[in-house]
Amino acid sequence: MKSLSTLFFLFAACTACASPEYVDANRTVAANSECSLKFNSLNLCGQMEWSQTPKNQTYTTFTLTLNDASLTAADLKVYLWMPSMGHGSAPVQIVDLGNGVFDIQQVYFVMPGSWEIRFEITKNGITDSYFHTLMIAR
Amino acid sequence: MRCFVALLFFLIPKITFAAACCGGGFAFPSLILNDDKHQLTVSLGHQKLKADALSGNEWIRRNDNNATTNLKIDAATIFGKNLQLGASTQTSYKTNNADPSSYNLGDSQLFLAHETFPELYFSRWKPHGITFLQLNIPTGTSIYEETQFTKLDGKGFYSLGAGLALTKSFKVWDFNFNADLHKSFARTFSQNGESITVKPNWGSIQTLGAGYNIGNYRVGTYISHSFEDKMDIESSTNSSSLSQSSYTVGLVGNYMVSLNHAFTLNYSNQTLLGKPQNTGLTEGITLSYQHRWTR
Repeated sequence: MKSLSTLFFLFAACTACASPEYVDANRTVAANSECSLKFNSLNLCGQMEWSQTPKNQTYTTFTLTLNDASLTAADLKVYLWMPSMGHGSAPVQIVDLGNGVFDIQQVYFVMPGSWEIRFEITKNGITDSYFHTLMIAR
Repeated sequence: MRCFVALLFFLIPKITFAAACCGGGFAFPSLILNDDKHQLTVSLGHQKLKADALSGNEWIRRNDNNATTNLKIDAATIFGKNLQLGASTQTSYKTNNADPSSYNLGDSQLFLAHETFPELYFSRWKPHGITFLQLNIPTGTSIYEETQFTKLDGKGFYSLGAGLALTKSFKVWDFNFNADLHKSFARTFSQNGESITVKPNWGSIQTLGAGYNIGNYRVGTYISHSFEDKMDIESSTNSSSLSQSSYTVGLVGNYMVSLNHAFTLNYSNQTLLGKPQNTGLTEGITLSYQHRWTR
């Protein structure tokens, strides 16, 4: 009896009380600095600028500027992905503004947490990708 | 004494392990643990999503009234000398501040169990044990098929699990240990015209519980750990999710009206113990009614 009780409480002790670090609800990783998005295989870089702070379950938009004016929307793919949960979100819309500048619209995060914006660029038959991580608060 | 033994029917808590939306969650079957022919359990539960656990012990508080009320029915019947067959299904009503509320059909389960370690004579230490196989059937809608959160009540995968349930009573105390290992199988979904194949992996659950019995009443507690390995996702871009784990602590109260009828009240909380990873953490309460037909 005593040994069983000891075993039970040992199990409880091993798992220990939760001591989480609560994430700031407004913490968002930005990528506004020049060349924050790097596509090494293509020798390309880019930057993002949000129209507003991305939030959970709210449509938003960001502008993607790449340092190659010849790129078009056909060369670019953008996905939203949540690696911890194993799923994405609704497809975004890419609007080509010319000169390597794109409006990425209909950006919608379906839940709070750590997300990736996955960029994929194909140029001259070479494809390179960059995963930008950001935190979406509730 | 007979009442006490009968109370052991209810010591395995009615827990459903599931992430907020995703992953290969699994639920323990509602096994017949004693000398009955049939068993029917109806459970009404209410869970509230309290936080999202990220990697590295970071949590996000959830105050968006993300709640689920679910009704679950479990049935089991004995056949042959020591085999039993069971099934369960559930419906839910989900709400949050962002989406319209929705009624949903959840996943369903079938199980086959065997009394592998019967208690044929008194032993101070030897437990009563049942082994089982359980199949999860994805009758509910998963995150891979629907983006509206309140419409999600399924994992999305077929899962096959094998497990063991051990029970032991000593005077007015009882103890239980349950464990399972399950494998979820790959499935291809269509999302906005694009095909996505999700390949889940292995998962496991371990539960340890104890109870104290007073007449027709029992109070108990349990601790449970659930783990789901990472998933691989194949679409136009291949990727992987991260593994998920959570710890549940629960308090259980049982009242046996008669040998054929009993009620169970179960409080569970996933925010109290351990370092959960990549999953939603809930707090909930479930009221169960169980009817049994003796052999």
